[in-house]
Amino acid sequence: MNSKLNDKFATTMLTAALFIIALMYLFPIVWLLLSSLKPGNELFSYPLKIFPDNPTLDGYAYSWQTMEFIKYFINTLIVAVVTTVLTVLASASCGFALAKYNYKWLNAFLICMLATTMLPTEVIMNPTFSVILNLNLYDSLAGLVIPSISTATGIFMFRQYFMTVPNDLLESARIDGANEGKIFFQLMLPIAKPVAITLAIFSFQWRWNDYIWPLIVLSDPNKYTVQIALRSIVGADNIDWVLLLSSSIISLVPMIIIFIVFQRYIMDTGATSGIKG
Amino acid sequence: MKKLLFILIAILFATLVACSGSESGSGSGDSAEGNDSGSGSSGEKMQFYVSGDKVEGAALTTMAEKYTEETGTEIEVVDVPYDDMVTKITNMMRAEEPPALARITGFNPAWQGKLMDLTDVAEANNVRAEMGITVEDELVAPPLDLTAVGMFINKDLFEEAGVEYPTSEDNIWTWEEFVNAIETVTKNTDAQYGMVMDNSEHRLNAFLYQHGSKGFYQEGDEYTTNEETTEALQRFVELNDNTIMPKAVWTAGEDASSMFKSGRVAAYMSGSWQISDFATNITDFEWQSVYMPYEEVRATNLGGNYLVGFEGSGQEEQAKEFIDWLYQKENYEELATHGGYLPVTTDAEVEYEKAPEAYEIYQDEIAATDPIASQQRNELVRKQLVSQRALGSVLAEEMINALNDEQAVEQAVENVKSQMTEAYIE
Amino acid sequence: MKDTNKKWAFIFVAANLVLFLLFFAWPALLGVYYSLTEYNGNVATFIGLENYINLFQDPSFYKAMSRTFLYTLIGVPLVYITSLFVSVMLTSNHTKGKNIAKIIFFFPWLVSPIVVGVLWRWMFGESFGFVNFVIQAIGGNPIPWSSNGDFAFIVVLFATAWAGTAFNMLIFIGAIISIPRSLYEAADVDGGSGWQKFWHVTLPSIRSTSFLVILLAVFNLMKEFPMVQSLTNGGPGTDTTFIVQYIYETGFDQMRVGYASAASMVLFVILLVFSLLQFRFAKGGKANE
Repeated sequence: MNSKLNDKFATTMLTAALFIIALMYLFPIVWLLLSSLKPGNELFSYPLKIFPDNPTLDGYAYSWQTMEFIKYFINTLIVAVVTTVLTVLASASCGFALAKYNYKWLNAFLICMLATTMLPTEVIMNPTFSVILNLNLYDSLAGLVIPSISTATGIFMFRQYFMTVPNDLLESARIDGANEGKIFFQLMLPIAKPVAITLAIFSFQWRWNDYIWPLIVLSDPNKYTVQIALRSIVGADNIDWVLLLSSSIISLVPMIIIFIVFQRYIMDTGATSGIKG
Repeated sequence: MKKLLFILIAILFATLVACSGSESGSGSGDSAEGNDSGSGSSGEKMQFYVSGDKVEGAALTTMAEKYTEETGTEIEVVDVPYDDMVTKITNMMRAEEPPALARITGFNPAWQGKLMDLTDVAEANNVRAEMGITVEDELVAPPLDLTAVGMFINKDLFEEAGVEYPTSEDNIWTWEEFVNAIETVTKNTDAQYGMVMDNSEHRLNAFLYQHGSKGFYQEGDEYTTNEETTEALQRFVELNDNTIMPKAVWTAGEDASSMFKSGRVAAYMSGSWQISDFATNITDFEWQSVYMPYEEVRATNLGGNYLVGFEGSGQEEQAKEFIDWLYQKENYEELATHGGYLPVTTDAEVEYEKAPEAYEIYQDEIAATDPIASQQRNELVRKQLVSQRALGSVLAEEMINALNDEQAVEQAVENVKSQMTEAYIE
Repeated sequence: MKDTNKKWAFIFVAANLVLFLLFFAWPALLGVYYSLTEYNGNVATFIGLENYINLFQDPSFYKAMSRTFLYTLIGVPLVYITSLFVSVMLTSNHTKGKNIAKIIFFFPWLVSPIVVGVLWRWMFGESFGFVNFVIQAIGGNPIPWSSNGDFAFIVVLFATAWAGTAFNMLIFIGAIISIPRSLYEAADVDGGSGWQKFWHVTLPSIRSTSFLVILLAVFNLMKEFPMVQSLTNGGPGTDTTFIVQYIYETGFDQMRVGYASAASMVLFVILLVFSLLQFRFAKGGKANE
């Protein structure tokens, strides 16, 4: 009886603690949202008010007019979707090869891929920029897509997954006379669907929120991605906070939609644990 | 699963098509021969890189639209952050895809030999070439607008505190008097700070000149400065005590303009480009332009933007036509009126719609200023173009470190000297 | 048969191989070459090791490097502890509303680094920030969050922990729920308290996951750039300028490509040494599993 009472007490306390912390995590976003609903003169009024006196969507209308969000969304979407599809295919095939074939040079390649996690683009921005120039990829969306296709994380996710697939499955397909390409596309890729979806979601988020590549590759505002468009507000001498706050919220919307649609896959911890490298 | 794969591939194709479509549609001018400007075809847009146009009432955007209406040539005004401008254009140049036009305040040595010679255009339109940048007898960067450093006060706060401020050139205050005045204002009102100054070397230089500094100049084979510079910088550090001036503006990039606009700062040392914005956007209190305090000599600092056209954009001729059009008396007057610029052509007569009295103060300041202000800035900007390596705002950067207690003022001055010597003297 | 397999294996890795050569090997070699030259974007002049010599005498490089180390040193444990704590709470038998809480904790994952910076800058603004408003409302003095280097550093750490929790939390939850129940039941029999169970059962069981989280966090923090750029832009002064921002500013803003490349190479060596150490440790960890 006593222990049951204790349990109940512990449950109340821990739940309360959990939600206090959760609210602390939530608050910055809520504050951004509340502030974005304030008209410009209320934003900097003193003393500060938590809730807007005259909530208004003017800030949103203003940023929708000033920033060409549709254009930025489309650009970012093109980059994110194309890269994601190519990343999944490239990582799956590469992971499959690394898991199921045993050649010395493949092992060497595995180590090379490991090295890329250590020397990400951020570290070698200057020479990478020269490469982009040489390949004629400067100021093109292709310049964002192509370099981002290869990801060590994706390759390792698939490699780990395919290692768990029994070799007998492959052998029997081979005996049936299927060639390796057919085995991969018709047998292996379909059974790796959970990994593919997880990687696709991650890849999409990486590309949607990517900053470094667009920063060094793009110059034409017609090709701006959402993040670079935001940078043009944050970097200004006089930050236009009304514009910045509502634009930040707008930039979140697509990711939130993705999250709502794919929540099941994202929060399914079984799949994410596959990320273990 | 097959179905899923099919959908994926379909999406891939659709996006690739869209991708290549958008690329060919908006490429920034590497097709060799651009379109005839007069033909009114939808042709390639000319890109005009500027920063801060939105704040200045979108004057250039308006003019670009007008130009499109008149000639059919489309111009896209691209607003990029001030800090990113030089980097961005340098990158575009390395990629051999420079924009057609840009309005800039600084240069990079990599631009050398890639700027269009605009001597004829400037001459034809009475542009004051001495305010521009001339390299090897070519006027590569004529001035587009003239700005000057100046002081704004929050009139309401001054009146509430019962503090006087100079209303004519006869009773201009010294820095001592000015600081006393703003201290009284903060004491007697709920003002948070006495003054703010933009985080900018350009504003700081005006402050230095007023204290008798000669800035940083070449002497023999090195850069040096006079004693007054160090003393004035010392004073500047003392003013940044979080009571008179908030330190965060310089050290942490807090926005001076919006602090002043919030109505809780007594004075704001900025410049003429703010007038049109203030006239429109400050509604909660009355503001006023006042004469700047001085110690030794009266001085403002002239500034403003240069207009450049780039070789290799594939649209050189159209760019030149536009520049010519923009400097024509009638158009230029419209631009200056709209953007609140002080004119750079000898014949322009600008009637400011907003706060004309503020502009008069600036005209007085410019007339009374020590000549050092206009010479030195131009010389240093020119150095950025013709030297091996461009220095950004060395003085500002070193002073930020000094304000942040990372180094002493003397050390900051030494660093500025040695960096300038290293970069500008071979 | 074997030979066709070799051909297929090659086809399967071809895309990644080409990309590896183009966007890793080529820039890496180019970086080594640039680091030995004086290169301003126009012409590269070979100057031997001069860049490295200058670099090791440059106080601003040391500052950026030491700030990055400090940030990693404090930030990684912070991210580790917060995400582990949250995960334990979310897997505890004693909490309710787990699903909602989990979504809240996960939300920051959706937010881009730039917006994370904006968010925290807005919260901690000195004059108009919410935090200073609360501090003043309860009678305190406003804290110079952005003009004092130490406070600015703390804000960066908050933002890091906030943004870094989500992903690591997922990994931890995955690891914690796969711990066999029997281990806890055995502990119950021995009368272990919640804390003891955590210390003696949970923590050892997720050892390899911990290594993974720490490894990822170290790499992420060592190369932090976008979030800080929009949060403090490296300020006040250069107090929160980390190494990648330093490389970006020298290489792109000042166009000292050779010098920046030398800094890149130094950073690469440091990361390499660190990973080798880490893998040694991780191997030790796996042996116990």
